[in-house]
Amino acid sequence: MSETVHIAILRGLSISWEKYDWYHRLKERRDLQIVFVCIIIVFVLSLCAPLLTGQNPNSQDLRGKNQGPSLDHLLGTDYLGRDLFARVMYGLQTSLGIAGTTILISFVIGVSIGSLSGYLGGWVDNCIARIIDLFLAFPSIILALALMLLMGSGILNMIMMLTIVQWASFARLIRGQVLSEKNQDYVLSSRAAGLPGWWIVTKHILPNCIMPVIVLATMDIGHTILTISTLSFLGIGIPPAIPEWGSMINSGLPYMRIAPFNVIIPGLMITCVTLLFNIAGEGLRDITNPLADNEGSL
Amino acid sequence: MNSILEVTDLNVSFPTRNGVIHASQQVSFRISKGKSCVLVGETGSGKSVIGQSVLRLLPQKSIISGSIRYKGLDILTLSEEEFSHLRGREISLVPQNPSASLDPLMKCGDQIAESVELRGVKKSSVTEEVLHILSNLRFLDPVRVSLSLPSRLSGGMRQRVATGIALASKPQFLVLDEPTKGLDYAARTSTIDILHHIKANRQDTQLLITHDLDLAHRIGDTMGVLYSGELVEFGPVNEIFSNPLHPYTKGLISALPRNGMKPIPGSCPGFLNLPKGCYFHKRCPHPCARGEDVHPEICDISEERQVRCHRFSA
Amino acid sequence: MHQYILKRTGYLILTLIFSSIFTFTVINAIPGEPAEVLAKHLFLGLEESAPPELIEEVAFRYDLNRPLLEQYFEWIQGFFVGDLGNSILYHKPVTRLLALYLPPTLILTCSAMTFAIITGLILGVLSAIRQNTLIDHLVRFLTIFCVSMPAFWVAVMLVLIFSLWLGITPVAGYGSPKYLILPLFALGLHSMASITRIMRTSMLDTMEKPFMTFSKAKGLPWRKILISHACKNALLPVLTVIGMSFGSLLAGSVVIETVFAWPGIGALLMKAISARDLVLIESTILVIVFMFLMVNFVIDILYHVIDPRINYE
Repeated sequence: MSETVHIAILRGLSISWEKYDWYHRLKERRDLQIVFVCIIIVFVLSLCAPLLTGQNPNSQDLRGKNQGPSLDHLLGTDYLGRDLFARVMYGLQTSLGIAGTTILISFVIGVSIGSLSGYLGGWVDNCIARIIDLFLAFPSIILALALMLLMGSGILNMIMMLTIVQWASFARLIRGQVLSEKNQDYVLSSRAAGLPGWWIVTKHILPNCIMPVIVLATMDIGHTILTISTLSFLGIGIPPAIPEWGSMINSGLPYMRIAPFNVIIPGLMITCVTLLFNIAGEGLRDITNPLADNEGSL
Repeated sequence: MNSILEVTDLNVSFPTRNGVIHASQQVSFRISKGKSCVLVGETGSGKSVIGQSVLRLLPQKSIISGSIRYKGLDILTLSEEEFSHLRGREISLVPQNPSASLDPLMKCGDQIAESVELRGVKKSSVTEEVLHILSNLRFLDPVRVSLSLPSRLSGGMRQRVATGIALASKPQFLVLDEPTKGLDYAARTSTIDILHHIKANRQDTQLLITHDLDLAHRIGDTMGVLYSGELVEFGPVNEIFSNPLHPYTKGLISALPRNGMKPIPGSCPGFLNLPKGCYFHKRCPHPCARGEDVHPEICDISEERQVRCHRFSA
Repeated sequence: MHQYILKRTGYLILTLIFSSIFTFTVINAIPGEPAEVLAKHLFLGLEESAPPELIEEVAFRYDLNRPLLEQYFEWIQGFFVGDLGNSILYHKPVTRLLALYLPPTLILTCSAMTFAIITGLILGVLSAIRQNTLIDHLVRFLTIFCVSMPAFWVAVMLVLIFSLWLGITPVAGYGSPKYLILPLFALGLHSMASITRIMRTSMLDTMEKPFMTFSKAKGLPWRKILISHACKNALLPVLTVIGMSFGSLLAGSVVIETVFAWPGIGALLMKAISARDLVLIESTILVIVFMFLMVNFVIDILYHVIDPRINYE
C-alpha cells in the first residue's frame, strides 16, 4: 500500500465526531454512557452464555430440586433440579435473540412499506395507511395469540408472528415523517432535477427522518422482550425445553413458597434488560432531538 | 416631577453555556405620570428584557441588579406575593406575539374575563364588561369574538384581544411589548390607531417597547434608543426625530423607508464579546480615536436630553 | 364538530368490519380445521388424531363445508341476532358465556384504568412542578422501573409478598372487593407509570409556552394558572397515551385474569385457545377488539372536544 493510501485510511478512521451535536450531548450524559456500555455488555454476555456457566441448563437432578443458592448452583435449582443461573443466562440468549431478530426484520419491513407509502401518496398510500391502522387496531398480545393459534409454536414461528405484530408501528411512524418531509424544498428541487424517486427517498429523505424510528426500535426491543416472556409464561410459542424467563416463572409458580428465587430472578432479569433498553431509547431521543432537554430518564 | 416609573442602573444578565450575556447594562430612565416612554432598538438590543424586568417575568437564572421604582416603591425588592398585588392589576402587559400568548384552548372572552374578575367585578356583570371592552377595541362583532378560540381570529384581532386583556384590569401603568411585531401593513395600521385611541382616552402611563419608529413617533412622549443593551440616547420624541444626536439614532431614522431606507453598515456586536470601547465604534460614520478603547458614559445635554457619545461629552 | 363525529364513527365501523374479516380469516384459515377440532372435542379428545372420514362426517353434519363468505356473514349476523353458535369447550351458547364473563373484565379494567389515570395524572403534575427535586427523581426512577416490569411478574411478586409472606390479601379468586386489590395493581401499574411519564413531559413543555408567561403577567394566582391553563393544554398528548394504555390493559387482562383466576373475558380467551375452541375464540377476540376500538373512539372525540383545531385526516 502506498503511503498516501495509508494516511488516507488513518485519516478516515479518525473521523471527527465533534462536529455532531449528538456527540456533545452524549458527553454530558454520564448515565447514558453507562447504559450504552451495559447494553454492549449484555449483548456480549448473551453470546457467551455457554462460556460463563459450566452447568448445562437442561440437565435435571431430581434429588437436588428447588434448592437455594450454593457453590455448585449460584442461584439455586428449579423444580427439576436444573441450575437456575445457567437457565437465566441461556434465557438471555433466547430473549435477546428473538427480540433482536424480530425488531431488525420488522424495522426493515416497516420502514420500507411506510416510506414507500408516504412517498407515493395517492390511493396507494390510502390503502396502505388503512392496512397499517388495521394492524394497530389489535392490542398486540391479542394479535399475537390469534396468530400463534394459526401458526403453532416454535422459535421461527414466534419471530414471524412478532414481526407481523411489530411492523405496523414502524411503518406508521416513518410514513408520517416522510409525508412531512416530502414537501420540503430539497425534495422538490431533487425531483425537479429529475432524480429517481427511490434515490431521493433513500439518500435524502430517510437519513433525515430515520432517527425517531431508531429510537422507537430501541424501546421496542424491551417491549418485545416483555411480550415474549408474557407469551411463554402463558405457555405459548416457545417449546418448553428451551430456557425462557417467562416459562421459568410459570413453572416456578407451584413451588413459589419454598423456592422463591425461581420466580424472582427471571422476572428481575426481564425488568433489568427492558429497563436498559428503555433508558437507552429515551436517551437516544434526547441526544438526537435538538429540541429536547438533555435531562435524562431518571 | 412626579415619575410613576424610575429605573436606575438596571443590569440584567443571563449565564449561558457559552458565557454570560449582559442583556441590559446600566439602563436608567424615568417616566412621568400620564406619559408614554418608548424604547426603540434593533432585535436583540435588550429592550424586551427591560419590559420583562418591570413585570418581574424574567427566568429564574437571570441576574438582576439596580432598582425599578414604581410610585417610589422598589419593586425588585418586593416578595413574589407582595408584587402579585401589583402585577396584572396596576401594572399590565400587552404581550408580543399574541398568537403564542393566548391560551389556544380557551375562548377569548373567557381569557378577558379572567382579568376582569381580578378587579373584583360581580360575576353577573363580567360578560357585559367583556363585551364592552371588545367593542372599545373596535370589534364589529364582540359576541362572536368573545366566543371564539384564538385560532379562529386573524393576527391583528389577536393583538387586540391581548390588548383587551391588559386593559381589562384598568391598569395605571401599561407595558406594551412590540405590539406591531409580525403584523402585516393593514393590521399594523389598525393597531397603531387603537393604541393612539387608548392613549388619548386614558390617563395611564405607558412603557412602549418597539422597533417600529413610526409607532414611536405617533404614540411616544419620550424616547430611549437602545444599542447592545445600553441606552445611547434619551429625550422627548419630537426633539430626537428632528435633531438626532447619536450616530446610531441618525442611522435608524435615515433607514426608514420614507427617508430613503439607507441601512447602517455592519451588525450589532451581540452580547457575548462586547468591545472594550464604544460599542458603536466599528459602524460609526464619524469614529473618534477615544471610541476605540474608552467606553463612553451617558451624559446630560439638557434637562431632558441625554446622549452616550464621546463627541458630546464635556 | 358533528361532522367530525360522523367521520370518526364511519371510521370506527370500517375498522371494525376489517378487523372482523381479519379475525375470521385467521381463525378459519386452515381448511378443515374447524371440523377437525369439533370432531376431536365431540368424539375423541384433543390428543387423538382424527381420521379423515370422521372429519368429513362432522363437516357435513355441522354444515362446515359452506363457502367461507357465507359462514362469515352468518357469524356477523349472529352479533345482531344474539346467536354466535355454541362453544365447543363449554357446550353453551357463546353469547351466554360472553355475557357471563364480560362484567368481571369490565370491573377489573375500568378500576385499573381509573387508578392508573388518577394516580398517573397527579404524580405527573407533581413531578413537573417540583422538577429536579427529590420527589421528581423518585417518581421518574420508579416509573421507568414500573414500565419495564412484565405485568405477570408484578402479579406474581404481589402474590408472593402480600398473600404468601404477609397474608393480607387472598391469592386468587373473585368475590368481594378484597379480591380486586392485587389484580388491580398488577394490571394498572404499567399504565400508571406511562401516564405519569407523559403527563410530566407534557406539563414541562406546556409550562415553557409563552401563554403561561402571559397568564402570570395577567396576575392570575398560580393555582388558577396551573389548573385552568397548564393542565388543560398538557392533557392532550396524554389522552393519546391513555388510549394506547387501554389497549395494553385489555391485552394484559388476558394474563392477569389467568394468574388470579379472575373469571373475565381474558381468562375465557386463554382457556378457549388452549382447547382450540375456534367458535369461542373468534367471538371473544372480536369483543375485545371492539372494546379497544370504542375506547379509542371516545378518546378521539374527547380530544376533538378539547381542541377543535385538530382536523381528522
